[in-house]
Amino acid sequence: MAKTVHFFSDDFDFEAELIKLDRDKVYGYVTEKIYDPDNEPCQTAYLLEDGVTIIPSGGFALKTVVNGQEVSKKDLVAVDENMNPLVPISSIFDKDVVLKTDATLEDYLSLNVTSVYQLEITQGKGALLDFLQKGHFLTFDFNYRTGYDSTTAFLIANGEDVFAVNGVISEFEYLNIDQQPMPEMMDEGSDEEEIDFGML
Amino acid sequence: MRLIDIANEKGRNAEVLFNNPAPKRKILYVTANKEKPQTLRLVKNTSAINVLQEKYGDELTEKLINEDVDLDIEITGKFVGKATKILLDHNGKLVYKVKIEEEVYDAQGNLKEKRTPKSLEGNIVGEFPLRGGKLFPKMDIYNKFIFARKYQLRHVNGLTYDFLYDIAKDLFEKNAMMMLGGGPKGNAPLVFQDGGKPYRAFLEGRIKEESYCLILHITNLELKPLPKHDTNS
Repeated sequence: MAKTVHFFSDDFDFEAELIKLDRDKVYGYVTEKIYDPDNEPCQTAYLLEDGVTIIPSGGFALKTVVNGQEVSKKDLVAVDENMNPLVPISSIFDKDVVLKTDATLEDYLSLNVTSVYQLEITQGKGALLDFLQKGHFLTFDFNYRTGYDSTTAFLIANGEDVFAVNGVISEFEYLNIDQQPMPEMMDEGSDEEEIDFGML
Repeated sequence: MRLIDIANEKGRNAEVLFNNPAPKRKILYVTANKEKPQTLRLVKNTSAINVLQEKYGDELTEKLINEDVDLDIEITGKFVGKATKILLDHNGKLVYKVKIEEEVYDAQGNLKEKRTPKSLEGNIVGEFPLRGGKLFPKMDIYNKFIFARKYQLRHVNGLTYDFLYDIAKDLFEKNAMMMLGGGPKGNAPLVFQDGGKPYRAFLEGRIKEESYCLILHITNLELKPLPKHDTNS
């Protein structure tokens, strides 16, 4: 049986299995195949800056280097922007997860979503659905794995199903007439990576 | 920031800016002496194994052990900068003419069809402005789609301030989100650049006194459960 998460608050206490929801599993997917003139699949490779040397796929390694010396990632420590050491935050599968009730629809609509999970709840689903279907919001700090930062997940009901929608809340600016962009802020370049839904 | 061309309910359009204000990650990894490391790329091997197999056949193991045929001593272990992705044919030679095919699979992973790729043209700025369509009460729509990304629309001058403020105010007062579409009929999904993917888009407006916040929510996924066969995987 898959690992479950234990959620609780003053009004709720339930366990749920989290099943990742992704677009490919809902709608299907498309892959691109590239063939050479003999109708054989092409291989990817990389051309170095010298314009001559070809390196096959998988031919590079990434190394972490300080002052010309390689360091092991195990020897690095996580710090915040002020260089204060960070404490690891446990995975939601390794602790009891506290549900909070203070979020609003505006908070939810400010969420840049990074992952969505379908909840398989064995007991206590009725009370939870009643609460969510009235338009209330429950949130929790989300860490799939133990790590140094957590994101925010909202429990959202659609019909009889409950989902955990996880991401980072953006702080939108309220703009007045005096706030006008400088010309250098205008850039028509592509930001495809910013709208890569592969992360879902 | 990039430009987007949007029309209001009267059909008047303006090019305004948009950006994604998502906060950036603020975790750094440093050494015990608080030195920031660099991540560098080096060359690990210079020959693809399938090409070597074809060239040496059964003798490959011996050649790898005795002659290091997978390594170019001049290059292997060297730190390198940028590299350009290229394609090789099945003999490991540069290929100049290729055939591209898309394979379409259903949600169960079954191949449905093979087809020539279709490239969509960007439509957020150009011949036709994006136009608003149906309004959806926020409380009816927030749990129907995954609004994965949000972009904030920003005015570029006094006229576009009034233009965007009025759209935001109207949506705020109606407590609704407006579907936004492109193309000549204003009902096509949004494509942010040539060759990009299509997304459905909804505008949300917020108001605080004389300031506004107009947010473009984009989605390509409904919030609905996986088909039953997948929930056990």
